[in-house]
Amino acid sequence: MGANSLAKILGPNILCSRADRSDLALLNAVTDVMGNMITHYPEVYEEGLGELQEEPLLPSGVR
Amino acid sequence: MVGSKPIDELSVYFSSGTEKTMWAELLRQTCDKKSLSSDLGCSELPLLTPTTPKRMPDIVETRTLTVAPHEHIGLNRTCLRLIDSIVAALQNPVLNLATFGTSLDMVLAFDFVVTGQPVLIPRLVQNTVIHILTYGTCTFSSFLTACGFDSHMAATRVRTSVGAALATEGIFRVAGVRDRMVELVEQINSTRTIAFSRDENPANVTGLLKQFLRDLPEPLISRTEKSAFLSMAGTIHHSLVLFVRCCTVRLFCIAHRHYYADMTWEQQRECLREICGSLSQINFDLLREILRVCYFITINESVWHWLLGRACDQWYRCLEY
Repeated sequence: MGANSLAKILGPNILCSRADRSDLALLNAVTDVMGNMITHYPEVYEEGLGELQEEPLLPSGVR
Repeated sequence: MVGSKPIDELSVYFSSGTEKTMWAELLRQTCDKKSLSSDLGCSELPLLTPTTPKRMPDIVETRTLTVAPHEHIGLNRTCLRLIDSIVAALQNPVLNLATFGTSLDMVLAFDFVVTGQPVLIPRLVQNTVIHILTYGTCTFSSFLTACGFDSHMAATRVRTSVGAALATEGIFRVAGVRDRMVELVEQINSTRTIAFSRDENPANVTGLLKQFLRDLPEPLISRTEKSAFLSMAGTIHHSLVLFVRCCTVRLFCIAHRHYYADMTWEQQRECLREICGSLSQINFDLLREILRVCYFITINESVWHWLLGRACDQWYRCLEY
């Protein structure tokens, strides 16, 4: 799942009270903020993880 | 054990050395070390590090922990909230068993009582995260194993990984089986036993995590901090101007959106850190854990697609032979 999809699903549960969950404008803002928090998680929440992230996921020579 | 909380002083009465050690460890983790002094028999609480023997001589008489007033009110407030909740949990062990629909303080307090150790992330969240990362996504180790295609074992592993990946794509989007989730919630609420079998559908487990967050009496990011978070909407990296129509945050956002939009990414990042720092420690820890899982799932997204394509390629070659 991408950051935006996760933000759409989890964001309202984290940022909104029950009364706020029907406000679409608010939900858009929540999704935007949560998406950014997920995307930039290592930079914002885990200093030093950035170096680990730069390692290639695929081993060399593997298509 | 009972506790009382005067304005500037916290008194806790210990009945045993083990209990005292648990409290001291909890306080050490939740309070600023410099702000905490004690007459527990050691000069400072930082001495209670893993290098120091955990077990202390049993004491029966009353001891007092003194929590000095400190600038970082949030940390001390967190500590005091936790201690209040633990005392309440110990005094009402039957009434407050439920994990779902209970405040985060109380959940942590009961986890503390059940495990005997300070817990800063609810056990339910810990176990769901472990289950998701173990069985819900293609883990990095299995991915590496899957990269060697020369043996039958590796090929089997590829099929397994691909199967898991296909089965759990959209792991948070797919809803769990309702009856099973109700059963799990009742089981956790009544027995506080949190254990998921290997065969448990990952969607059920993620459903529990969503329900736990949804049922919190106060959202993880409370009303007071929400406006600060939402003011960052549309500004990070792409500097869009977002007009938030929610009345509660509208004025704040109008005042701050241009401010954030004019910042560099480094400045925005520092602001976001600062805003996160305004959360209480237990809320911050839980938020970070959830974001960590989400980030892990996000970076595995491309791996899933790669594995699927690669496996199809390999199976096609097998068919050729």
